[in-house]
Amino acid sequence: MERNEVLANIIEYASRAYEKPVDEINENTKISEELGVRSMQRVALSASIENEYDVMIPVARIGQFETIGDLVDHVMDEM
Amino acid sequence: MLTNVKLGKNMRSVSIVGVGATPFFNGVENPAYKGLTNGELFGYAALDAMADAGVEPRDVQYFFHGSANPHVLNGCITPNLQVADWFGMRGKGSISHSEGCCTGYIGLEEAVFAVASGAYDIVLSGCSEQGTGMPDGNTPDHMRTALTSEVLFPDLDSIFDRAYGRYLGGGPGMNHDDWINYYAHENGLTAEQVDDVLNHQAYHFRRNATLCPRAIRRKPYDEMAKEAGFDDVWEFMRSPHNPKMSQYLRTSSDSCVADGAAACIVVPTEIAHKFNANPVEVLGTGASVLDAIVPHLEKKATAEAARQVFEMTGLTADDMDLVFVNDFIGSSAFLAAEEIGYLPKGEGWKYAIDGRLAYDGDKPMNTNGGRTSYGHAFGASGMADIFEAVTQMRGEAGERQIKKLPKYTFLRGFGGAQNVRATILRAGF
Amino acid sequence: MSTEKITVKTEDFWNREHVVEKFWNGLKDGIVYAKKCKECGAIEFPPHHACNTCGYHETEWTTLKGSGVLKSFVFTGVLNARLELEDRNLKYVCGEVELDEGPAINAVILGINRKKAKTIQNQLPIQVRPVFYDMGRYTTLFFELDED
Repeated sequence: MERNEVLANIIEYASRAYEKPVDEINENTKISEELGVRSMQRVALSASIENEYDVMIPVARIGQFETIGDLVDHVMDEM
Repeated sequence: MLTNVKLGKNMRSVSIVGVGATPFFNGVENPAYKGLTNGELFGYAALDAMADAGVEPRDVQYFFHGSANPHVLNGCITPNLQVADWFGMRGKGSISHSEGCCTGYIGLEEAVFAVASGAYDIVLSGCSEQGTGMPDGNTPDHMRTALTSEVLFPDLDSIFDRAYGRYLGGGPGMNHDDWINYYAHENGLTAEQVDDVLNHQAYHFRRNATLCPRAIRRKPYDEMAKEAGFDDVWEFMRSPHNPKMSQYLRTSSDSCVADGAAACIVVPTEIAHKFNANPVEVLGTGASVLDAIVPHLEKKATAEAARQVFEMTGLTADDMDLVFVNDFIGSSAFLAAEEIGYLPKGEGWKYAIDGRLAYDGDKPMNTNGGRTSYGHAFGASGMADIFEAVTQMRGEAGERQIKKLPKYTFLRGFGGAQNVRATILRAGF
Repeated sequence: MSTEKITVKTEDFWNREHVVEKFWNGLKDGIVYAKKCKECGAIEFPPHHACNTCGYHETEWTTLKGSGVLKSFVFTGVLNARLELEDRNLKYVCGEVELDEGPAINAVILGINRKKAKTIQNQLPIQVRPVFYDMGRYTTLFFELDED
């Protein structure tokens, strides 16, 4: 799985989870600061990642990743 | 056959003569409601309940304040005394109580005890909770910020016994999927069938909430599917738009955290008609609590609480016209309805798939949409269900009014995923 | 000048066992402490003062082997993962373990990933043995399949 493919997927999950247009989200978007901190939004993001890549990021741990890029790197390592 | 119900040998019968409720909403993000505080919300619900009962604050003698987590969500320990002045009960007696998400159902139980015992005649029981946010630092109450999962999740563990269970196996991890997993094996259901059952159940409860102005999530799934480019709503509900957050539960089966309040006024049944033309009698409440270390505790405690209230009243599940189940774990709804006998053994899942649990079905449940659509304001959810039950039993539910005016309603409270109550209400007397 | 004198020290007047402390320290030494009802004989696990099986007020100390059978289990997901286990990259499921001496509890079973779980799904109940797992500041009781 190419990194930019994983990046595109995760941007789509984030767009759905935080209800923000895809083109407003990129590699450097700060997840907590710019997208949001509410557990319901984070549940949707982490659930999508786990359903697709079988990489388990508990909802309460999403905050560890500062940007979308950091999250993609973690998923790439864990896959 | 209804035995001559005595709540206890020497207790007199008690009825609900007034109910009030705010909507369930997101107080951090909804500009119309951002800035409202616990005291104001409780006050609005309390004054609505008093107006509904035709009483003034001066007439009400005592009140209960219920909330599941006042310390984390509002930075306060004894909320009863902090809200009293909002609805004109300064100087009177009151109690704060907290049983997790069962708080609202227990609020009614306690108010009934206060009147049935003869200690008081006119009692208010209200609950309020602001689940979406927390105090914004050391600031006045109208200043709130979003409740982050970093604060919420570790705090969720405080419902589990710290002596043992939390650090053995009785902590998080079990309570969401335990019962549906047990049921699936017992009835030979595949994971796909369970998925279908839960999606249909969530879909039909959303139909209820669409017609309930106080609900937080009201957009029909059909609309959501179309917006996401799906023609088939069931395909949408199985798609990444509705991902699995636990082994069996998709986000559509997750309760929607909310802010909100609800309240009721209870009086002795013998004088109830002076307050309201349609009083609703509280026939009885069964109670059972099991620690999270106990396997299949929700099934066991639900069965025990139901056994108590059916024995106490001489009624059976077949007498019930309407059922509410606190379904902050989505699968609890049809599981508990089957466990108490409202749905036939081994058939509950089919009723959910066929939409028979909706407001227009033959076994209506959670007519306000329940936790996944009406919303979940922890301690206030139970009292919001009592508000909906009374509204339906008076025939005042408008578009979502169930076909047969309910004479008997059963409410199954659940809190901290360990407290269980089973209450039966009666109307039309 | 008051003439009263303390004749009985409080700690002598009231000096009861530390049940929880004894339980957790026992796990550090690989011992599974429990109580046994002095009237009905049922095992009270985890240990408490009274018996929750028959409702008698008094129990006495005993120990358990810690082995039993796993009767049912569920995976955790992003919503209900056990953070302290995820942080340690442990593979686990949560399930009902019935101990040889009778009591059934919800428990953590280590060493089971999705693939493994599928194989044992229809071999339940399946033997498990205790794992005295060092969490750093305390040792707790988990389980693992008793395969050999």
